[in-house]
Amino acid sequence: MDRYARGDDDAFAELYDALAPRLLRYLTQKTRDVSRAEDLVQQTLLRMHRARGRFIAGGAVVPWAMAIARRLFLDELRQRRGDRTDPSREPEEDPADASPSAVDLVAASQLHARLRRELAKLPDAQREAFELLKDEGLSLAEAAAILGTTTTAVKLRAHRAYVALRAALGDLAPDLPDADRGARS
Amino acid sequence: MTTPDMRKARLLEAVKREPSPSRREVVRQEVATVLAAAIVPLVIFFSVGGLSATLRPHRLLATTAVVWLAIALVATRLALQRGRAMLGAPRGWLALAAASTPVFLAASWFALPWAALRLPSPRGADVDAVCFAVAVAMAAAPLGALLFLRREGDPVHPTATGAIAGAAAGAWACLLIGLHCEATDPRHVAVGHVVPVVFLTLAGALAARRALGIRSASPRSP
Repeated sequence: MDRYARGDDDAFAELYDALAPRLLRYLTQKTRDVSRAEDLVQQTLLRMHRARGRFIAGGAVVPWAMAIARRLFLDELRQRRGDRTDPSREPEEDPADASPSAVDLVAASQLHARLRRELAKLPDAQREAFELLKDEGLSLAEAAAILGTTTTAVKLRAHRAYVALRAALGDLAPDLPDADRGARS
Repeated sequence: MTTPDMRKARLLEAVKREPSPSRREVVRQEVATVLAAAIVPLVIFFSVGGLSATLRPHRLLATTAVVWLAIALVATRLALQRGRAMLGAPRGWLALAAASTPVFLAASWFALPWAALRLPSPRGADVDAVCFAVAVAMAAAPLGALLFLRREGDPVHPTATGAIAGAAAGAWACLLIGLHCEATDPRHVAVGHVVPVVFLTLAGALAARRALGIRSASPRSP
């Protein structure tokens, strides 16, 4: 991004390759609709292109990109309010995920589906903190910047989410590690 | 069905069609914006008479000016800083700073023995209104500049950023109007000098929603 901000136009293709898959995964998880997610990824990268001159040298690209993606998703959701699409609905389970020949795969798939269901029940603030830390692997500081809050608040939200998930999924995953482990500061 | 390569090609094509300024060009633009925004309040300040220090003790005036300058600088820094993550300070800090800027301005004035001087002060609603209007006029360009510098650039908390931008612009105006206006009546200082900061903080918060926020194109945009 730094090269692109300095005026190297060819760097945008590299930026796309580095960010697009991650943004697509993040937005697909949020929208539960690949087509919408792809549209939002394009919008996010276009925004970054327009604002490239204002990118601070040495700045962190991923939290910035994800914050833009999140805002575009929320704004799109607001525009769609009242639309037939219920953004909070659970994704339909893909039959291809349930291969009858792979018992482990089935168990993992069931755990994943149940985790997603339990995550959807959490308050937005807790779910977002959990997803940014655990799914996206961001640091506490990066997640806090994206959510516009402090690292302490993010840690607390993620901890509460983790405790709730652990209580809900205890029967499926009794060996879940401690809540605070794994969150980078 | 579009493939990832097709999507990438489509975006690269869109980027080529819509060139954006590089950092060097943006810096140049930002310097010009800051200079223009600084000139407007100074022109207003000197056109209404500039510094007036015939009645007021210079040491007290200088102390107040230095404290208000410090408050304006801190608020401006908060309004402009984006940090390593490019996303600014946490929402709560910005909101607290915006809300406390007029409080600190007023408190620092009332903490000094201004009221005890009992200097002859012009009275009447007109004087309050004139100072209020001049302060808002002086802050308009800096507020516009601060919002322009962060335009469509706050995906996290545009309202809080706008509020601190308004408070910063108001603090600069409060400093200038304080250097010009010799009135030491506490009510006048509150209504004519500090209340404009509150007004500008609210105006900044309202304007920022549109100016700083990032909006999605209509769903399913091409």
